[in-house]
Amino acid sequence: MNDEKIISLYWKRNETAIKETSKKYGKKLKTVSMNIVQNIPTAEECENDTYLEAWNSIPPHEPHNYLFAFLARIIRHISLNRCKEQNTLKRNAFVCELSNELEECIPSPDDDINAKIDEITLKNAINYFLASLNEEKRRIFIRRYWYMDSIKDIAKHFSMSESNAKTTLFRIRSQMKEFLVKEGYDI
Amino acid sequence: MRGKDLLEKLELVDIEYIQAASMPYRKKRIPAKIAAAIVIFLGISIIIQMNYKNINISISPNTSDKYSSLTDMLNYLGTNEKHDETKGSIKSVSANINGADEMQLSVMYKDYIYHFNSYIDKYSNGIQIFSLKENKLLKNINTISSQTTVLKEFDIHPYTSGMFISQNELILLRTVGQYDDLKTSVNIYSLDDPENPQIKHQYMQSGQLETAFISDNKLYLFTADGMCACGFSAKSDTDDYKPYLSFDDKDIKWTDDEINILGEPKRVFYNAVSIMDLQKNEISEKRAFYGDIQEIFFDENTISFYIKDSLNDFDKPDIYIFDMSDNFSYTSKININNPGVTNILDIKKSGDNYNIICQHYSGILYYWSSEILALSADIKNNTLNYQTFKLDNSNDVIDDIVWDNGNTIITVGKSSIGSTTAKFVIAKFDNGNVSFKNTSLSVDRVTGIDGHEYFNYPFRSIKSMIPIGNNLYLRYNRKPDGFDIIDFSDEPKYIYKSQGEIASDCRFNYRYTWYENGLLHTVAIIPDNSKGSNGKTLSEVYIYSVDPQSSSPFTLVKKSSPLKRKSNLYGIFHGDLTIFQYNGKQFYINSETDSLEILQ
Repeated sequence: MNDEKIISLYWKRNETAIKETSKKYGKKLKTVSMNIVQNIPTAEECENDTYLEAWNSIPPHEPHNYLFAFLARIIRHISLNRCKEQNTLKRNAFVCELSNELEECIPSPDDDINAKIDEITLKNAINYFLASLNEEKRRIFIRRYWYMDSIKDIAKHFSMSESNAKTTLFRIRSQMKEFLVKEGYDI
Repeated sequence: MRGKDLLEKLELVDIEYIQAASMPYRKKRIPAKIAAAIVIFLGISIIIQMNYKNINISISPNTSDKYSSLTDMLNYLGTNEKHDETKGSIKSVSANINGADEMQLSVMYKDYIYHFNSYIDKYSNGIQIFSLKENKLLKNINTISSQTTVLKEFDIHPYTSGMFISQNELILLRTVGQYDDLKTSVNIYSLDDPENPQIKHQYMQSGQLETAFISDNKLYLFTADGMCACGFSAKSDTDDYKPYLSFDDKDIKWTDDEINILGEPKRVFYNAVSIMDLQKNEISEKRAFYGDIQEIFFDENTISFYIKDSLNDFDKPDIYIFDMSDNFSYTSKININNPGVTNILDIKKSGDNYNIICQHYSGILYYWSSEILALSADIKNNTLNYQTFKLDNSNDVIDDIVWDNGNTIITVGKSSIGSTTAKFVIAKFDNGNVSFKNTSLSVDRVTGIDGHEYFNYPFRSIKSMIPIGNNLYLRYNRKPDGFDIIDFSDEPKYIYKSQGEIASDCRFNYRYTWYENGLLHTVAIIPDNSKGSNGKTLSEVYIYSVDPQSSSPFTLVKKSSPLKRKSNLYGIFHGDLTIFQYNGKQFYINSETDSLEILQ
């Protein structure tokens, strides 16, 4: 069933919408969650919570052209929150690895500075930066830090060697740091 | 801001970028690399294809290549045993052999009904004798000593007890004891004085009652048991690992010839079979099968053991086939050596062919797919054919399998969230050839008693299809509640859709629904709306006549008055529903109220 039809089922409050969503995107969503929570039952719970959230969000939302991204954003958020609730985020080696990598992009890593950058400014900065990248680099960055794919999977996905993928990511992180300094985030 | 904060804040990334990154990425590469990738891909595919569906039949003199004797096996398991909480199988199976008597919880002899009741009083169970003449309960015979307790229906599984009438004898089978020491006792009572059954013989066999049937005046008893072979729990003597069997308090020893080891068991678990000649009152034959036994299948004098490590889904299943008519001689072994997970669901013998239905899962990481694997093995000529049918979703499960001549109707339940639908896939077995037919008819998924038992997995618990002849089947319809009639003579189609024969808040109890001589017998569970009922339910027994050609196929012929249930537990009876004919009236036992009921 195409996304348009699934969304129209949500709008009609037809519960088949959840079944069809699960059928079409269940596995992909579970993988996004698995990358974060590293635990199948928790990932399944997050998947179920995502359907509930989607049920409550559509309507008013109409993610016609980006249903999967819409659901993926929900499951990523839920999965990270689940880790925080269970206090497993710090114990999750993979999340730590990604956090350390991203810390290289931040001009002045500091816990207190968080409050000084509001969400809208940060959102604009990230999106401007991503817009400045070519398509391949942008996808690689999002696959790594948004979908939390392993280097191995990224290398496979983009038909490159693992060392090539690592080098590309290192360069993107350096570019991001430069971008943020240039944009005045060097506080 | 720290790295972990930025990782979280990345959820603010424009949704279009997220969507784009979820799509397959095509990179412009030089043709040589694409060609190389294709070559590698094809190479891998060929290797996978070569390994895939590696199914074979083998006939070897021994059932185990690894162990030559029980001692041999115990020596190995002493340090390599895989521990499992389950002791023995928790499945009870119906042998369903043509012409054989199956055990019942209520049996009729002359003017009496003998009923085994798990709840004669709060602490014990035993036989109840009802007089059909006087229409009342005559007496309870407590069959329990203070040291033994019969396992209740919901403690393990129906049925761990049952009865037969054989000539003028009443035979009672019960699993007794505690969980770590289960035995199945067989009491044989003389019914010379029907109101005072006298015990004539008793025999005991270790393990939980799996199944029993009477054929040619012989009682076949199957029990399952297991024990630990390592550490402090290990027993000192090999004989302690053999089944226990006694007849009238005399122990009967098992010889090494009567022991079969199937494959390479990872723990000590066996199925013991004893055959008692009811004419001569002696054990005429016995056999013990050791292995990782998942299931036993019976068919026309053969018995097939489905062997697979219960702690390893990826273990490759084997089927060991024995001939019951020839002193349990070993006939053949079928090995299904597929990559992935294969579960054997059902086996049916047809001539020399063993037709087998499996569900097979394969995949990488979290991307799994599922398919039905149907195979037909001719063990005489050592030939084998198979076909697969890919299921829409890896979560889809098989709810029911009905063998209808050459057609095997497989009900596939959609197990995704909130799903209440099922569809049919038909496997055709024709003299060793196998094919599949997909169908488009969507039907309601059968859930269990009160709607929650067996939810998502009714296989083997509920027979969702009730055959009424001429390729017609009754099937429960949830909305509106009632029965549909489906014609399977060609493409499955409804010839009648339920009009709501019972009220929408009622539900049929599928465990006690059957069709016989144009009559459908069923039990409806209805909410008890009386004050203080606290969500309890009542039940009513209905008998409908069924005329599939009529526009109103179901006519209520008889029904019981509403029966109160003692408890809010599953099911309506702690026994089965058997209807007895006596002097033109129909009776059944209501074990909730310990009464003999007449259908009006």
